[in-house]
Amino acid sequence: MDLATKIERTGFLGYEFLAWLAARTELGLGILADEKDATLEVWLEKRLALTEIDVPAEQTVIRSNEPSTSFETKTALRLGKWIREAQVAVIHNDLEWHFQVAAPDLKLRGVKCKTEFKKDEEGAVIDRVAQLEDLLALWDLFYERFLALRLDPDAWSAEVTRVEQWILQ
Amino acid sequence: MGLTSGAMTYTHFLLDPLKDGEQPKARIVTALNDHAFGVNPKLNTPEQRVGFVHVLNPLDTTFDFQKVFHTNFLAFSYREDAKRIPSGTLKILLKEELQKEMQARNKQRLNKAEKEEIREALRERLLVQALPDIKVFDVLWFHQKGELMLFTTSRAVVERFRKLFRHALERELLSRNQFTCLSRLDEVPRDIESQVLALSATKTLVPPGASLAAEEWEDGPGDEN
Repeated sequence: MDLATKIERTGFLGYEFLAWLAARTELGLGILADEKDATLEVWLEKRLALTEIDVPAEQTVIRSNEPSTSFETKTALRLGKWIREAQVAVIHNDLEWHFQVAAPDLKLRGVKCKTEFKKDEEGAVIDRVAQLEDLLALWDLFYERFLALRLDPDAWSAEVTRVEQWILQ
Repeated sequence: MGLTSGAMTYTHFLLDPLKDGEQPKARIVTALNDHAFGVNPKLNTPEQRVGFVHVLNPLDTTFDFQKVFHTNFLAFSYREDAKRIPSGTLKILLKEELQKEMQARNKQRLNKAEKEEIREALRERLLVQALPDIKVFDVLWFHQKGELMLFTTSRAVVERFRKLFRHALERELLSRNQFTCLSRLDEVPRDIESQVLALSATKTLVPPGASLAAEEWEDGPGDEN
């Protein structure tokens, strides 16, 4: 099987990952602990775009401070739509990031870190790279947590039940 | 926006991690210098010039260790200068040029090949005079991890950068996505790729709510009857 086929076949992972993050946010499970047991919080904010996989042009956009709690979001999910794009916030220790993520390939866009950077250009670049590197490590950690659940049939079954209950609430 | 200010939007790639030691790093500095903006004539056309520049100064085209390498990453920029003659401008000036040529050659008409030759000569003359549209895209390379970000999502720019990067550094860039990133995750089983692919073979892409919606739909008409 060539790489393009492998990527295509696993395209559902990004959609499931964002649905899982949305549910965790709403169920109060957004807070995780990293490997050093530091608090790690993730939630979806401001904007969600939901589509059917085969008809990406027909999308429902939810604009709200907490789109995961929105009735429209759950209705779209119940109608068989998936979260295609989400605005995400992550807090870890004293740092806060905001960015958009797209489900098809889990690429991040518009990454902003709410912190003071050094005044000189070179210092600012070094600071910004360090913050971006931290965020990427955290994002991978979320994905690892998701994959650990996703690959464990029993754990995933329990998680799916929770997600379905959230959608039906 | 790039590395220096604003929100960060980039195209994310994977590549082989750089081996320890000075030699691979020295090779990168040499490759950047050899493919710096304006240095390599093979990279340029009358319409477009491409090459690498310093991350904080697009006019600086010389690289050394200190300018490029930082603690765990290296940073530089990819610059593209594009010159374009607006079609309307070219049309008006060509008309005048053709008139002049007909008078000079004492001809009533010019054939297609002659017209094309005059058009091309005029275009080249105008391109020399035209000011370039300068675009600079930052590049961040975590060389030990083997991850690289190009700060643009333009497909055309990404493809041109990939070509130059391959030519300069003899390394392939692989897009990072939900599947290719699996090999770089720390806390996953060794056979994660085959596990995930096995999952996909049995998985039909049903949204979390779809099965519920279907159940409700089955109940719905029944209630009405």
